[in-house]
Amino acid sequence: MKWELLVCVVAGWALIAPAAAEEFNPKRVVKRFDPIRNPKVVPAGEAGKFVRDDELILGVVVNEEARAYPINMLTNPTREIINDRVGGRAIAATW
Amino acid sequence: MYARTVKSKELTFQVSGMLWRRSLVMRDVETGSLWSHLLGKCMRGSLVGAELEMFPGTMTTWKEWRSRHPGTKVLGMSRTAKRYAAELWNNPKPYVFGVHLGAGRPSPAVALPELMKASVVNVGAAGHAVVVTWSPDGLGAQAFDRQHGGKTRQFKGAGKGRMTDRATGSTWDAVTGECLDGQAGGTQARSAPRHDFLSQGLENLLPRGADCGIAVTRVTSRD
Repeated sequence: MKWELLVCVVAGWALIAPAAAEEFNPKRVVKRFDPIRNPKVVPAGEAGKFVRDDELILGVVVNEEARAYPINMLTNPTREIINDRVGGRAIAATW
Repeated sequence: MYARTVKSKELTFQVSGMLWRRSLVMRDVETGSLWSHLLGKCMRGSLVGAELEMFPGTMTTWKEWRSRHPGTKVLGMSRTAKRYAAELWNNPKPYVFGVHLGAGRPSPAVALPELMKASVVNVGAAGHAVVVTWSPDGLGAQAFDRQHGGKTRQFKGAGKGRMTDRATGSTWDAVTGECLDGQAGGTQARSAPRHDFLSQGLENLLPRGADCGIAVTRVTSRD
């Protein structure tokens, strides 16, 4: 069974083997949105009114500082990029 | 999750309003360059060719994240949707869990129903080996590098969010990648740089060739 899996993966890679570079031809679908900077964040103990236990989040740990982004707050073109700062690093949480 | 610092310059990203390959195109305010969210790469503008450093992100429930990271902070904005909750995975069929290992490297992906069933899946080879794990409690998936000291680790599920590596029999936390006991005790498996859940079929739209390719793995065993 192990070999079946390996063959499957290798075959998959063969299919994606070198192809011509993709042309970058983006299409506009909505207007450009203002960036979100310095978003409001709250400690876990005060999170009750913002996020439920069973909601899915994107989590990241940078230099031992943890941050969670509930996906239900990111699912709109106005929200797909959050410019934040975690563990001393400038990061972009994206969805 | 991307770093916003490129060539010592801090960038601010915004939604450009454009899509490429059905994926978000980001724009940086400072130079007006356009970036593929999918590739983490500048596609047009003065920074063309530059790549963003990736941070490993985890998708899980708030409950599990908070229990593993009690000091965490969470975004405090209004909701724009309601559907991204645990029940989303009641129908996992449309999803694959893809691991993006960086430009020029193939990107393995595991069909979510099979991942949920197997819990621990070893994928890839020849320097691109990762183990993908599923956490039943947190309803989330993660990916870890299997390369270590010139060798490739092989993991198998041990139940209750644990896994063991076959060479040493050490026990690992399948969610955090931390080695809990055994010969490898105290070490930490490196998270693969970036992972995403994709709707099945979307992988066919991803750029092929040198930049990024997705190889979907249909898991046939618990190996």
